[in-house]
Amino acid sequence: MSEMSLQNTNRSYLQQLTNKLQVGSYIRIINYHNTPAYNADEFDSQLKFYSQHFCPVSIQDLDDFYNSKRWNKEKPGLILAFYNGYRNNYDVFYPLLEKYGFTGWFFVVTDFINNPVKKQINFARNHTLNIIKDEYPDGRYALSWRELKELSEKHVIGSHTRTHTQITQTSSEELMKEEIVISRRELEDKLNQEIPIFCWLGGEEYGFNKKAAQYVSQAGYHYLLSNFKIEKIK
Amino acid sequence: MDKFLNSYILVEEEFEKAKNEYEEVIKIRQERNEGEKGVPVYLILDDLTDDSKEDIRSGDSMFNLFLTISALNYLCFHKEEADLDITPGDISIILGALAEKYFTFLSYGNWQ
Repeated sequence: MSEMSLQNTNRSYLQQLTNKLQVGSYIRIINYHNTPAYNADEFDSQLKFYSQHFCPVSIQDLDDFYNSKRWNKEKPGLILAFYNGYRNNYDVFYPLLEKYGFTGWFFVVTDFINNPVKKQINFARNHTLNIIKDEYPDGRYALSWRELKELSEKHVIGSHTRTHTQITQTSSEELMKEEIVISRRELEDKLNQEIPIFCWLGGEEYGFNKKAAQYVSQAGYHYLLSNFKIEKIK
Repeated sequence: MDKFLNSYILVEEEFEKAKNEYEEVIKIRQERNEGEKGVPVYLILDDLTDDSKEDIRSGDSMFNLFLTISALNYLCFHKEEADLDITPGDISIILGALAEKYFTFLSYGNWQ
């Protein structure tokens, strides 16, 4: 694409986003990755504040929002999203979600959880997952399946790929299937519930790669979360 | 600047104030360890299953308009001053800065 047409595309995209912003087609979200214990007091203060001014968002709330085209609750909705499947999300933030009655959206990397404890640091290092040095002397930095199962009983679980590998225009179909389809299948098998949402690395929208989009649809996801949007696809 | 952008320009003194606030909040974001702290953002909602293309309409319409004006003014100023084109990175920065200014824990302490 030429520089000029790329620029026109960017401007047109900005116009599309601002039009949506202006009519209120948006939702508020806070993105978390690691949530270490040394930040627990800060997280507590934040969540106390958020619980006073906003209300949690479940998948049902999001469905209702899309279907009715209106937010029908007294306070604005706020999504708290957690990426990668870090153990400290369970140890540090989960108790706060319980304390303040908020809903977390956990986007996990399934092979991070699957890796034996001894291999998790290496897996993280090789898959652009950040580990806080010496945080866990036992070496387990990922959520366990038992912890994720417990989270899934009250919170939203989404797939953030199988291996934290970015899908690009040149990715093989085999890779797309692994990252998009197999990750969902494994989560559903282990958690015994439907996985409604997918978030891939790089934050592209649904149509950026037609083949990848087909896999997202075929896998059965209802929503795709990207850098700028949540897109309802089913 | 595009015509649609120019139609939202604020008066000069408000523009300057908004610019300073944005620069401060963007600096706060840049200095934050995003891997260990929460990062707020507005996400736009698109329904690809709805052929009617009817928009979700939420929030206070005046506030929504204010959000839009605020974002566009910052982008206009920033880009005109530096004579730069708009990039996806700029869009990301502006949606994040809006979030930071208008719905976070910090925003209530520092901006309201």
